Amino acid sequence: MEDEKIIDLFFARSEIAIAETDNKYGKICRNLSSNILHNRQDAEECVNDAYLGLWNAIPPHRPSPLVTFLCKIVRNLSLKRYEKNTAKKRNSMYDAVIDELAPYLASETTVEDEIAAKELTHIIEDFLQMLSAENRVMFLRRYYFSDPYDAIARQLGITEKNVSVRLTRIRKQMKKYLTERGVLF
Amino acid sequence: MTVHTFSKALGDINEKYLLEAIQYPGAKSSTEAKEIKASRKRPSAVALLAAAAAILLTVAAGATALTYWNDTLREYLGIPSAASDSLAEAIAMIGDSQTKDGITVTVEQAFGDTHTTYIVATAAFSENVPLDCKTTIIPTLKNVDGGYNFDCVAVDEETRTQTYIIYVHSSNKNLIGKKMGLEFRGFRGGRDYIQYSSETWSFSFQLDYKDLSRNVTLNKDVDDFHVNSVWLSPVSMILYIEDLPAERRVIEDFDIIMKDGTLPDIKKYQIIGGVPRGNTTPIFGMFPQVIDPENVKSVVVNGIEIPID
Repeated sequence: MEDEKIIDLFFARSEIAIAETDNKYGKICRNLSSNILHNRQDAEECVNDAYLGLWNAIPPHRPSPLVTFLCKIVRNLSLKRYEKNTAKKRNSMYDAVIDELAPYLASETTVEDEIAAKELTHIIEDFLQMLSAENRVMFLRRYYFSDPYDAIARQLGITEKNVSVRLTRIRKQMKKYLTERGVLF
Repeated sequence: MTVHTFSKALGDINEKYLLEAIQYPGAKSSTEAKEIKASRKRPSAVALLAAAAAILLTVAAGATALTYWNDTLREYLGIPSAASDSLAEAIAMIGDSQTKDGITVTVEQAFGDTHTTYIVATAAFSENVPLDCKTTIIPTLKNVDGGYNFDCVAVDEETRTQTYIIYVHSSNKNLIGKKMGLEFRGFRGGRDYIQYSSETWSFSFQLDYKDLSRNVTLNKDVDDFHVNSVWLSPVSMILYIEDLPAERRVIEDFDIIMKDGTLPDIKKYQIIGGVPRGNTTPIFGMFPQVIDPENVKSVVVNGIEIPID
């Protein structure tokens, strides 16, 4: 069912809207949340909470596209749950993902406090714009959706080794880019 | 900077990047790859015999499988009576009914092309249910990659029937020959969204109809891009553009002009997959009413007219 019709069902306060959202986007939401939390039950709860978030947001909002709006809610809720869970232990795909990024973001001196979060987002967007479409997709599948290498390789039709090598290059490029813009020293 | 600061900032990036990452038309999935591999295998002797038998049966049956127009669908698509017969070749007759909870759902026929299909279905209700199209069954499409939507287009008080048109667009996959699943459920409606039935009506049918499309090779430089070709059918079209500059990739205006100067409506248009494939940008358009593909004079993209012949 098209997003427009699903949103109409939300406006009509029909519970079918949730079922249709789940039919269409449940898989991508569960994968995203599971990659961060590494716990099926927690992921399921986050996805259900995200649907409740949608139910409360629509109306009055009419998000377009629906999928990215939903993914943002799922990711935020999953990260919040992750922060709560990791007070105890570290165990998820998200840990592996952020560990990969850490050496490229750490520096002895940092100006992070001086850079507003919004500004950092714009700098990341400018960096993404510089990349080829395939590299951009690879970067986001890994660091936004926390997808494993084999899933990215399947999506792009390349080998896992190729994904790994290209992501290493992109991280190096990103470090250079952030340093040139004064985000890192 | 901590990785969490970075991760949070990444979480706020423009949604167009997320959409690109979700929809990126990459390689075929392993399942699809296997299907393609399997389809290239040489047919076995048994399969060849079975195919020969099927051909014989079809010939024996002759043209006895009657194809006719559902009037509501014909009117919905604005098909002139003069064109009815030739366009009827693109109809797949289905005629499958199921009755549950006193509600009879019938999927009657589909009409379409490689990328677009209009399916007509009816639902006949009992006396105690309001007949206003707001009380409705919700169709859900199965086994098909693509978007779909539906309209409740007609109410017949006498037979207590509502007629639905479900339109499907699968801009990067071939629908012809595809086995499609269609499920109706959640019959509910009214001001309080009362549920009258929790039953499900499930159908499965093959989209076997003739492809009436035409492909026109253009190979023209237009403005600062190159137009490779255009694929046209009575209900949809795809324009293949090469080297479309990034700043022009937001399609704000997409029209076709017929040889008689008329501009048919375009129900929906989009770049297939949202992003170019290599150098090529395929732009898909779907018509709410049929056109004659032989009589298209030009296509207009963001104000630039591209002659077809």
